[in-house]
Amino acid sequence: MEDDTRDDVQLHGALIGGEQGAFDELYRRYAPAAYGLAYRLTGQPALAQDVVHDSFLALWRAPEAYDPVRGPFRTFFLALVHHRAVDAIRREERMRGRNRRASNLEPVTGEDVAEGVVDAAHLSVRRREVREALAGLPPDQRTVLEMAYLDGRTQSWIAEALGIPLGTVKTRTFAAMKKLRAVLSQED
Amino acid sequence: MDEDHQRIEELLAGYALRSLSGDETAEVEQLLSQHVASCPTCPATVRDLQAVAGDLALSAEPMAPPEMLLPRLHREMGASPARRRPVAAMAAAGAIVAVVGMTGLAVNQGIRASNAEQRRALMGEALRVASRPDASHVRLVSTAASSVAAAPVEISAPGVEVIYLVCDGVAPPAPGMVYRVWFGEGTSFRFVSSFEPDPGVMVLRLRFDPSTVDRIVITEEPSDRAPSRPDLSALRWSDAA
Repeated sequence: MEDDTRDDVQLHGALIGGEQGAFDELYRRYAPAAYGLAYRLTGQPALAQDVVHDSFLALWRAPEAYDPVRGPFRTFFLALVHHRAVDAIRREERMRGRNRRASNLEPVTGEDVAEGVVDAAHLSVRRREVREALAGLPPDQRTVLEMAYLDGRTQSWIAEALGIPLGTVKTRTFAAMKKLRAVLSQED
Repeated sequence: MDEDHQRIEELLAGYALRSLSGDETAEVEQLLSQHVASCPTCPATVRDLQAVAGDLALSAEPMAPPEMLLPRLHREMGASPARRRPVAAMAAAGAIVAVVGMTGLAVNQGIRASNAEQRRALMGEALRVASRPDASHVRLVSTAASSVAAAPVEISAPGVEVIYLVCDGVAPPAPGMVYRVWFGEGTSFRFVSSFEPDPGVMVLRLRFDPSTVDRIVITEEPSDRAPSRPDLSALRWSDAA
């Protein structure tokens, strides 16, 4: 059952008190975004599921890790998912010596796939704003940003892949983030 | 803007995206504790970059997670409450704040300078990890039911291949004995380190990937006996009740 009467910070407060209903509501709000992000990064449904599982379990076990003063819960939690997904793919690359992954996504199959993705309403608005802001970036800046964030690549890997100096990757990345912030902070 | 500051901002941007090399990551973590805190502009830059990184998560297409994931989480939330100790975790966070003050006090009380500097650097390192949003703070549990003595606090974070044990006011072992730290994975334990706590605060820096560690136990054993396997009858603290 949906609980639209409490905002994220109120749910987080209830989570500290050990309320499972608050956990379930945060899961309902953020699991699709978290799973989509983890799948985009890892390219593997099983690994993505592990990342999301571990992230939510970490939230349950140590909810105090989030401090509302530092920013929205969404930013905290999705950063946690991103960190874990990047760590997972780098660990896997070290083990397998692989060099390809997100560009070659494994299809999500099987009976266990839930039907229909429902993004929480406030997320879908923000999602549209983020995509519009990204689309407004110069292509060379957008490319390095997406390779870093959505493919989980290091800046030195990106420099080599694109055949450009590392310093150029860094400059483009910062310029892109600065522009995004300028656009998105107006809509925050 | 000077060239150095531009480089710092670019490093902070790479850090927010988790796309730096290991050396650069270490450099940023040092910057965060030394430069950023006192810089008039960097704290706002860090907040802005983190906000953008959080927003970028929404550029990935949302997907319905497998239906069995939530029931699986429910099972594990109920089955493993031992590490879920909100009160202990909050106490640990409080202890960390106290540690900073006590470190300063210890320095003033005349601990050798080099030693104090090392302690301070190590404490700064542990605090940087502890302040990460995904960091885990776990106060180890004493196995002696009647014990009220302070227990070590474990600090770790995903991707940081170091586990810190903060001992604040931990009582020394009995004469001729030493504390031994063991990391468990599955049913096997590895000997990690022996230590005798200093008065006040001490940080142990243990180089291990926390994702490979299921369990941490500390035993109190004779110092002249080689550490081959943990003497669980001499268990002093553990991370699971």
